[in-house]
Amino acid sequence: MMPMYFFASDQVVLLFDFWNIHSVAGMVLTVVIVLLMTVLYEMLKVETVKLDKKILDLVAAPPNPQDETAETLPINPNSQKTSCKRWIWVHVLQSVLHIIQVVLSYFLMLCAMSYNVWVFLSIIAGAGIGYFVAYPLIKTC
Amino acid sequence: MLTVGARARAFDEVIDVSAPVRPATTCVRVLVLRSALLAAGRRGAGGVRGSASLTGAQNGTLIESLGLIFSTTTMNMSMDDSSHHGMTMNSDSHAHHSPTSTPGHDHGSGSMMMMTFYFGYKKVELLFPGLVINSVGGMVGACVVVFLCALAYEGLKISRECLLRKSQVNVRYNSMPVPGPNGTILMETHKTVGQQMFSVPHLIQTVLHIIQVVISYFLMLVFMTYNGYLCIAVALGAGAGYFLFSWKKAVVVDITEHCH
Repeated sequence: MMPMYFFASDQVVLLFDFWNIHSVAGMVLTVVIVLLMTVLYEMLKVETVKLDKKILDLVAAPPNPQDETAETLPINPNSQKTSCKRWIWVHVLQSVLHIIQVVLSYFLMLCAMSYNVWVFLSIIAGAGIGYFVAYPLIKTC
Repeated sequence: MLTVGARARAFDEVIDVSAPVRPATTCVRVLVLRSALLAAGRRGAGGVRGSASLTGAQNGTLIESLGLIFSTTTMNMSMDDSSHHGMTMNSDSHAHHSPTSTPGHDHGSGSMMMMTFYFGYKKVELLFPGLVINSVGGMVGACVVVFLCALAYEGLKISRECLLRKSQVNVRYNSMPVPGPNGTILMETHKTVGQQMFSVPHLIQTVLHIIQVVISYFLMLVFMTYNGYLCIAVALGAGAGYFLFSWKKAVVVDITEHCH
């Protein structure tokens, strides 16, 4: 019943039972939602990178006084104890974001599997727009 | 859409089932029709659209008209996005035909039906032929295995990264003079790492890469069953694996690489 090749159609059932589209207006709304989902996915990836840097800052905490080889470590105002505690919370936050990222990526895969041309194009456009908007937000030192 | 001949052929197959069918019951009617549709679909889309060849016995008989009514009902039901409550699938159980109210889902051949998320544990086919989940215990076991698989996948990713760092050979430091502010000349140091192609660490990395690709595709296929329990198990497994293994990624880092 469902063809395994790309086809352009106004009718699609995406992911859930209630997401059943029969009209052009519904398809436009679907395209917008899928685009926003993809943009959100790219921004989540950027957030993960930013949190990684934050964890690096926390882990590279005040070095030993005898250690002279450390050149230009970032200045860390946190003390050792609070940095350990904060590290756990940042790591928990990273794990939760990772779960959301995995689920979103699988959802986008299933949307692409609907083989609907408009949905697929919206995924590609969302990926491009998301990358364009999100990646400059990684501030390089 | 099904042609008349295909419907007649499908209904013919249904009549052969020895289950005591009471057409008055809606649930059973849907059960019968669902198996009819799937049986017709299993013969391939090409055959369905072929020429309608009615056998003499079914030409204009009550059975054929009933078949028409039943299959249009099924068409409407499958086009609706109602929940799966009425569509209990039990196409090969001849002994008893109790249509329970637990939602089930048959996966004949992958993406044959419209696939949406559902929660169920009856007749869930998982990846391999013969690996069918039919009970709560089976579903719990499958969820645990899938959870561990997703956990192992995240661990494998991090382990590969660690192994790669440990096996870095041919570290070259190039110092280049670079004009700095105030007209002074600074020395900028570039660090290049490389790996030989025919070395044992690289071969191990390749084997681990193959394993990682296969596990990732298996997880994708599990997610593609659209079963809610299994999908949640995959997601939670990925999160737990990330939590357990990714702290290692943060610690094993070069102090001169703080700027990526």
